[in-house]
Amino acid sequence: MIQESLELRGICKSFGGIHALQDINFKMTAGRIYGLAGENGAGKSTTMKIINGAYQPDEGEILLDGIPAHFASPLDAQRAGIGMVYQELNMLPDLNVAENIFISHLSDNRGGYINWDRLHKRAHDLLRLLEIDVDTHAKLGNLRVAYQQLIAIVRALSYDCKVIILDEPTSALTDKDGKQVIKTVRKLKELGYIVIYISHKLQEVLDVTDEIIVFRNGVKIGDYETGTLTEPALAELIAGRKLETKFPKKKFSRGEELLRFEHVSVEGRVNDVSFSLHKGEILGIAGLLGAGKTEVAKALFGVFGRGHPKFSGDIYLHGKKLKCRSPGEAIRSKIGLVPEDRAQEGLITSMSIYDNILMVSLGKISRFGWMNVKKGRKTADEMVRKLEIKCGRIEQPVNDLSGGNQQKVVLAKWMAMGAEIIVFDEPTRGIDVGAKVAFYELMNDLVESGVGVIIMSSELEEVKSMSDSLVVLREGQISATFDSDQVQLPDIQEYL
Amino acid sequence: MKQQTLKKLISSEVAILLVLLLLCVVVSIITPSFATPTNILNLLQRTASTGVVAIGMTFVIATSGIDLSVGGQVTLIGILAAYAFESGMSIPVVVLMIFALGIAFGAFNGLFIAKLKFPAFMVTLSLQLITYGFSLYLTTGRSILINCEGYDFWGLGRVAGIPVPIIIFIVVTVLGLVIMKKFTIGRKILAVGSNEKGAWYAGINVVKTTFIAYIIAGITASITAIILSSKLMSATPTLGDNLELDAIAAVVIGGTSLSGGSGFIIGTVAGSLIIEVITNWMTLESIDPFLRDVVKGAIILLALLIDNIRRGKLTKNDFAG
Repeated sequence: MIQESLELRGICKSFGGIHALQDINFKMTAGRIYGLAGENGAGKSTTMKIINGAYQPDEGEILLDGIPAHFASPLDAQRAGIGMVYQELNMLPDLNVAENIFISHLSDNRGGYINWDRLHKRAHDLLRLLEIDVDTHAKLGNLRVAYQQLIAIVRALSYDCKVIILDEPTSALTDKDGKQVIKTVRKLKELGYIVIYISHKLQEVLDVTDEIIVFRNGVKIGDYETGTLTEPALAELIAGRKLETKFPKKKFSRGEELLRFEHVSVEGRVNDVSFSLHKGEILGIAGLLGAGKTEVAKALFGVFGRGHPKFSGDIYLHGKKLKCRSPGEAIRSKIGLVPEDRAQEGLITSMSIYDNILMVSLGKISRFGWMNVKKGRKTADEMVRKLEIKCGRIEQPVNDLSGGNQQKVVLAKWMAMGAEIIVFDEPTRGIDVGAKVAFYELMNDLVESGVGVIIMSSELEEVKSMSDSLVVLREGQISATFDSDQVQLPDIQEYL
Repeated sequence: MKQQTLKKLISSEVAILLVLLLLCVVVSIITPSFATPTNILNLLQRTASTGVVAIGMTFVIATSGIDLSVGGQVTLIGILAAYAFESGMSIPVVVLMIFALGIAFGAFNGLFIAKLKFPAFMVTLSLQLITYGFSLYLTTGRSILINCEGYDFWGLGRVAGIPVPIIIFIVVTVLGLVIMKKFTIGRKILAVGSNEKGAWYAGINVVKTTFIAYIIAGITASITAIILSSKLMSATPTLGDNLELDAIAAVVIGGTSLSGGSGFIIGTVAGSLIIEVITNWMTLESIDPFLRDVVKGAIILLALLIDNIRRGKLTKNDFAG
């Protein structure tokens, strides 16, 4: 059982000839918080998975308190005192807090009999240790997501872990809720745990950690005392280059109004939102997760058209009032949505690239329901070429594609249909930098061809850099509007 | 390359046809009386009634639904048709009524399942009980004779030496294939079956699509009711007994997943034939008919096993994601 230190020495790992990690060395000691930073594919998650036993290194060793250890599985690592809280929480919403904490060891005797009083007491003690104020009898699903996140951390502690790995613990949380989680993370440090903290929110990493280990292309760039870094410096370390080229925004002349929101409200989510979108421009909508961005997109897309939850206000498309009772009707008005939840709302992942590209154009390629296969094939092939979707065959299920290529299929779907307005909700989440730039360039092309583009993102830099005008949402309301060129990031930050 | 072609073949829709072919070869070697024209025609004719409802069932299962009521539908439709003939209605009128009833039963299921979001298993189980119950109530358990000249053509007639039910079966198969592959409704059904939410976000009318799948099942029940009642020239309250289970078995043996999102019409046809070939062989070998269902159960498990091996599921951990 690990007590004082965790060390990685000369760790190498490759997948099918591609080096995911090369010669990784670092040492972590108790009572400190370590940040892992890097782009997608830089090696953060492979490193984590080696530490928690999901992967085994090809070369190198893991030392616990100076003694080499070998983990054949996450269970092995857990027994050695390494706990991991995944980004997807894997919690059981219908069970109560105590059950969720102790789910894999509800009973402390062989027969499987559960002593409920003792279970709740143990849960209560753990929660009190971390100063988390939650009733152990509460149904988990009824708790705020922030508390569910905390319970996931407590679950890891219940295995007597000494090392806690937190993967994007605040990505699903509002700023305020995130602070609650951060408070608990600091408490873990106080209690002498080794905390490994992974987050794409650089400011937060700088705020929480004692030391930051930066990865790039499978290589450790260095470890830095957090106090010696600033946000721009860290961003440059991660990207490995100056950041100007990250957002290739092109300017076009402003044309007529395409879309206008007037006093749009969605009960409990969005309150009195008004804005307009012009031809030749990209409208950016910034805001934290939970600020109402997704709901604004869905309001336009007809998701709330049946009045659950209640929708009010007016949306005008080309100056005419728009009434969509379902996504189907929005699509008929030539509105497309590249949704935040790609796997559930953007694609039918088990179906082919071909089927997905044509999914909203079925009417266009058919007569009386009879599909013109030749025409469909031509359209789909053209899209694959135009968007440079990297795939073997067009009949491949979308599941097989990388995140960036899947996202391109979602966009191809709308381009094939001839959408006149496309809303991008968190368009580049989970996509590599190279693919991101390609995606931004596609947005430029769309705007140039007269399509109305709205980009929504919680990555402030992205949404500011790619837009011409910027609307900031906070708790479902517009807190500020800016000319994207005329404003600096810190000034926007205040309104989040 | 060669191995890849083989792999593609095994994982393709026609693989089940090879299994069927192999089975036929083996059976005709063991039992020479199997491969006679009379027996084959007889076998195909028997398959027609299950096969037709199984094709309808494929559409329902593709939406990730299930229809336990088709057997009951067939029974009640057959009985009501017999009463209609008794009251002196003509064939065209009765046939029209039969289809109207099938569509109505499909609409009943569709209303509760698609529109009101009731679980398909329970709704169709209810309709099964309702239809079987009504059949028993109306007939008090007796069979109703059909006295109508010309109606027997559909179950017993032949065209160019081929029994009419076989022709009907072929026509329904082709229609099923075309609807699944060439019409937008086929794509929509598969989309709804794999990811209902995603389908809705792609502008597909989920309620209508699901509704149509149950209507298709109802229509196939009507067709089977015609085949069975005209073959027997009577209707009994056991007319469609176990049809739903045989149909589901055929669909599953054919490789369609019960979790929705896939629908293999050819597979379903092959599945129905596989069941019938084995049943037929047991009859020829005078094996106790009571063992029939035991064998059927074993075939279903075997089919699931083969399917899992094909998808590499046995070696893969589903939860590792």
